[in-house]
Amino acid sequence: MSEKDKNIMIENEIVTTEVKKKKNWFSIIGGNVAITAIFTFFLFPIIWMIGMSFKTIDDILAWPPKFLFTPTLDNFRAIIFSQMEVSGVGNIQIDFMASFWHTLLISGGAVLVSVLLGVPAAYAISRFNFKGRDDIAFTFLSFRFGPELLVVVPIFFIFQRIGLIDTYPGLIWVYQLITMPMIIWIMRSYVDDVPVDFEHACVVDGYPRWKAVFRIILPVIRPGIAASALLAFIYAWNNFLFALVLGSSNTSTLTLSAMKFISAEALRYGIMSAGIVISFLPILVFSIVAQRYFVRGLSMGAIKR
Amino acid sequence: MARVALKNVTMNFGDVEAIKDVTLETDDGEFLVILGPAGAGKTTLLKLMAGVYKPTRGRVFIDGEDVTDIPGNKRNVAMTFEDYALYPTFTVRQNMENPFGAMEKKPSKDEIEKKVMEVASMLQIDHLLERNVDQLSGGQKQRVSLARSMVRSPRYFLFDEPLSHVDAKIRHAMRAELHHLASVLSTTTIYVTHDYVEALSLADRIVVLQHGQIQQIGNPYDIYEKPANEFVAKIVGQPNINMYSCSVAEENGKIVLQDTDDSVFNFAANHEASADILKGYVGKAVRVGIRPQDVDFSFEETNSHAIKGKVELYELWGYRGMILVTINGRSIRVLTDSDVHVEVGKDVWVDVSQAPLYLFDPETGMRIE
Repeated sequence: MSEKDKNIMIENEIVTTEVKKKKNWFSIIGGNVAITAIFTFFLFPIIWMIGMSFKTIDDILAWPPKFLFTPTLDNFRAIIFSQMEVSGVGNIQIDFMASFWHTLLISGGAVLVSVLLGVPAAYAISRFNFKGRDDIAFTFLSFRFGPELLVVVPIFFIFQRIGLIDTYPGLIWVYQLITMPMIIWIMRSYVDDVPVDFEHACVVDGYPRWKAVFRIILPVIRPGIAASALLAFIYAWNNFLFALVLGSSNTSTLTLSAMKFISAEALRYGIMSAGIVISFLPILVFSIVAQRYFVRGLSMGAIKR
Repeated sequence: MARVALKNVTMNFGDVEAIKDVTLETDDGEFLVILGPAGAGKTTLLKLMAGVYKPTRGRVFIDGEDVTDIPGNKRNVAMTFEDYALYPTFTVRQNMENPFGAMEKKPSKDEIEKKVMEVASMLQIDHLLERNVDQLSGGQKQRVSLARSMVRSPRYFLFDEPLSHVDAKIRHAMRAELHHLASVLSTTTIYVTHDYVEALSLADRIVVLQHGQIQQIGNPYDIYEKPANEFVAKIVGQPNINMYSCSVAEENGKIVLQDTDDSVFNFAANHEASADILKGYVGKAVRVGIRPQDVDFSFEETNSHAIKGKVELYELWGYRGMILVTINGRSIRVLTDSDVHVEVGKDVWVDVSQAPLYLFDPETGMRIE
């Protein structure tokens, strides 16, 4: 190669890297602007609501809207100590914190049951070729797309007769309609991605099949379990209809309690906001803690062969 | 050491018959290679021997004892898997120690440590023991999976394509290493591969498998020189053997093979052996195979047997080359030395009169002897 050719090549290289740099710089700025815009749009209601939870009712109702205000913890105090002053009528009691624990217990219990039963079910559906396998899997899925309203009335009468109305076991049971299909379907495709040779290798190593599953497969699919459990938990946490129809004072969930702030004599926006902030905190915390698992768990084919 | 035997074993997956009526027995300490193309059922056959699968029909024996109903974890066999199947949540050491955890009489910690170190240093992975599996290269994973199978003394080894994902460079070295290991351990070894060179170089005996059926069992020499049928002839040898349909005629007391479509390849069966064999086939059709390295060629017309053709394609592989010659629309692969200068489109004279012929019956596909 002549000296001239070399120079041309080097020049070309410089040109291409410059173009690349320009493009990168441009796309980074543009991308960030776009992401910021999208996030502002979607997160604004949530940020505004968090702001409202620290405002007095006067600040909330002020026009033009106040972006700067003196924060107050009155709303949270009212929620946590369940004291709400209503002028002229006296105090009404909405035990918001109790419903927080109700919801935690019911959603957590429902997810626990679903994980204990759903993960083995998903494993079986994924690994074993038994008669009616696809029908069973589809039936589980159909629980998700069948409207809740369709089943809630018959369930109400059944529960009334067997005394499960307004009980934890009753609600945990009926919440399986929400959590179980999700866990089975996510875990099924997750197990599909785990090479069956892992079990085979462990059997050849001398372990019976069930031990091989506990020893090798369970640790491998743990991120998937975490992700699907979290997702199921969020859906259970947010459920309204089953809690409304099948629950009552003993099992009143957050979604029900939040509604009670809307009463005939006042709309307590501040307290309502504080209540919502408290109710989404656990989900937020779980999501952040499980984020690592979540990304890996929901991106299928996470197992590199 | 053990003898493994399959008797009339059939394996179905749903409607798919993966293994069809296979009967096979190894000798004690034998190195048996199962050779076949992808999807032939090689891995299934291994897993049947491992006890991971239970045959749909037929029995499995180890040293004469019927083990068909004994699951894999109680057979004390070792297997490596094509995708290694190294446990991703374990370190290399934990992977290697896994078989000990299942033993009824667990060896002491020191004994385990000693054995792991011994095997690891033999396979040169002792510096990797604390690594996670995903930090290993393909070749290292391969060694770890071999090491996991060697930490105990199994009755026999099952190796599933152990060299297929290894770099071409170290494949040769590892092949030699495996050969060495097998003779040192002198344990019965069943080795699956789709690479005929591996099969020919390693095996005491080769089992050629296609569509779940055994095509031929024999030593490497027999497989190469006396292929039982066209399939076996094609699977060994690179480039592929040339195959032609010919009719057999007798001219002036000589047996002559005539290409059935046109008269491109008319050649006398010069070898007395093939001439004798073909006497019974006069007036009938046969399939004739000629290995590419047995074809003589020249760029000038040298003798009357040579047939004129054109160079269609030339591939140089470094130490060897392959010419694809077309003669009236028929092609024949010819193996050359690398120092030959070949131009595409040039005339070439091909002489197959001295080539040993592989003769097959067109109806049964079996070799004519």
